[in-house]
Amino acid sequence: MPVEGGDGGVDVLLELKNIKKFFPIKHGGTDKRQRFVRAVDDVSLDIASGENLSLVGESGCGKTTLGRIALRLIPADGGSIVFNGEDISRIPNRYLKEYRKNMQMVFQDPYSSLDPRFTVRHILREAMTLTMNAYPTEDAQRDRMAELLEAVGLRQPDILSRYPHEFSGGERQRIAIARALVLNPRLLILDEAVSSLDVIIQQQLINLLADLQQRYHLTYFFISHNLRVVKKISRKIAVMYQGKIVEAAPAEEIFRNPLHPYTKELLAAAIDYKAIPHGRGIQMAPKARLVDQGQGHFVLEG
Amino acid sequence: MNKQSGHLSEFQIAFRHFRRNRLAWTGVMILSLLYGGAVLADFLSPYSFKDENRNYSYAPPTSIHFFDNGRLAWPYVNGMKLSFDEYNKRVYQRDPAKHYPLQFLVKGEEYRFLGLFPCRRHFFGVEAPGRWYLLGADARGRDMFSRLLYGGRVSLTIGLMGAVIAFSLGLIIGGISGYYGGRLDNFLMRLCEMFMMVPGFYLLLALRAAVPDNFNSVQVYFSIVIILSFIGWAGLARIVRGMCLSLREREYVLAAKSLGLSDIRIILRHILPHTLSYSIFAVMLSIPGYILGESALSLIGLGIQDPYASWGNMLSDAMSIVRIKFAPWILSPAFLIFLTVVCFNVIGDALRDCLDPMLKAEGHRDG
Ligand SMILES: Nc1ncnc2c1ncn2[C@@H]1O[C@H](COP(=O)(O)OP(=O)(O)OP(=O)(O)O)[C@@H](O)[C@H]1O
Ligand SMILES: [Mg+2]
Repeated sequence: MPVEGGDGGVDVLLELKNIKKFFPIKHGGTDKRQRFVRAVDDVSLDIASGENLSLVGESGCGKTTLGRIALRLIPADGGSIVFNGEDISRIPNRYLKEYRKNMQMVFQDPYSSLDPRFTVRHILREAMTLTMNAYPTEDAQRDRMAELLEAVGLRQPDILSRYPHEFSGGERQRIAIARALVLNPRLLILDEAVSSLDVIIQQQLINLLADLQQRYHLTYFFISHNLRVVKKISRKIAVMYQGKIVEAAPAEEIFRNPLHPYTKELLAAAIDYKAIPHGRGIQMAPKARLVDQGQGHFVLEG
Repeated sequence: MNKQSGHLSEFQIAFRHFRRNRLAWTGVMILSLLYGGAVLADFLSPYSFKDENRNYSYAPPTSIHFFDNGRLAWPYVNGMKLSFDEYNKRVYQRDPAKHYPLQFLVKGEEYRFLGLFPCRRHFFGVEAPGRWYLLGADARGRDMFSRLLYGGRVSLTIGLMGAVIAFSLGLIIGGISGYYGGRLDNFLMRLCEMFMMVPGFYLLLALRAAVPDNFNSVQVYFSIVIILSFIGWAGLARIVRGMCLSLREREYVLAAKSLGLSDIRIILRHILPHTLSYSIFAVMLSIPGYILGESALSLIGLGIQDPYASWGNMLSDAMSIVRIKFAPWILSPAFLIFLTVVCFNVIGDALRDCLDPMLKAEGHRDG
């Protein structure tokens, strides 16, 4: 499997095997054949416990789709999801709760990830419903909320009774992180968690995430379209292009020695702000496979 | 809790906006009066809805006199003498010999005040042998004013109840249909279309025909409520379903899902509330339709049966132009129906205006 730790024996937390997701394209006219967007096309990834993996790629390459499939928020068309040694891809929905405690997601758009009708108190309390017995009393709940808000760096006194529209994008994202942490998950999928924010707030949030990782022993699956953003926080990076992983390697490797042409372009765009010549020119054969280049460095070839 | 700290939800903001609309508030006031009148009908009305006196068939509104022999006096009414003119038409003449002062809390027929305790006092009226028709009498000499109040009980609540049931059905079915999608959605939507295909009034008649004719008045009342709501839910369900299709893609719905909330809770807490701003004014605007539906049924004699009053069956008296010419007051139920319909429409429009920013924010302005 790609993105494997050097010593082999690491504790794999999440393993995605040959995940596929094709969205049907609605079409008019007389063409009767159904066409599909290959949003995720045969993707395999491992995330070891405590080892942050970043998934990088341009807009529309299928990153969000893959993240949602990993949580089983949307059904995959093929492949399997193994969490902590157990295949969860065929578990009926009603038994999923057990696993969802361990995997949470921070969504891409801070303006749509918080229900505008709920105050922060309601949002956080709702997140506790699954673990109600852990926080049975009002007091226990209040303490937990205070702890989480403090952890994500929200300190205004009246925060609990405010509505989402009364917060900035960065603050909303912090609330979303607090909500995702309520259940004490082991894996946090961060879908472009900082992309919609300005550079300074991005930096703050990245630092916050690093702190939280220490504090709560989290593993991050970090989704981003910007290589530079994930440089600091990720140990491994997988580059995605048109639904496929084209290159996967430890973070330093990607920056030092990018092999796939698409990675080179991404890197050029992130570091030098150079205009991408034109990504669509890159050809990928249907039979292309990830080939090991040594030191955990995999590249799509064929 | 948000009231204390000054944080306003979108609904609270919208409500502030609504309060500033004069016209809509006038509508609210008028409707409150009408509904209040219906609730307190047995206290406010001088006579019971079935208190008839054939000697006063189509008696005109009784005039109230303030002067007795040129001197100011406590308001009173005179008795009426019935005679016939050369065309054998009834003519009522004032009988100055009989003098009945108007009284507050006058003793009359017994009723249960608010359904709680027995009471004989009526808000105003005249002592027994005298008869006072504020808005004239109908064919059987029953007081129009009293019957309008009692009729309001039927006409005003039937619309409201029909709308509430249709609203709940529409929300639930639309919500389920939109949230789950797929085959269930397909089935439910075809069902909706079946209901929407048949023109409303024929469906009304067909369903009414299916109701056994030995029902008593309460049973008839409820069967009409159910019939009315059967007709109305489909339109709302389709629109709500359309909204849910887009609402279920919102990230907070996915977040709730990943937090392990059940589908029912997600639908009730995160999806349907977002369709409320639309559905509330849709329902407001649909209430007149239900009121008119009941009136239409009662007008053609398929609704509430005499002696029970509803604005619709009171109007069935007014189906002859000759009667309207000689006793125009029998059209007063039509005026109340008109007033109610206008009020609901004005309120519905105002609600639309003040919920508009929310609708825009939620991206289903033209849903
Ligand atoms: N529900 C859907 N129905 C149809 N097509 C979809 C759906 N969701 C995603 N797609 C398509 O799948 C592809 C991948 O979408 P995805 O949201 O995963 O991209 P992304 O990498 O997250 O992009 P971004 O960086 O802009 O968020 C896109 O071409 C998109 O149009
Ligand atoms: Mg995305």
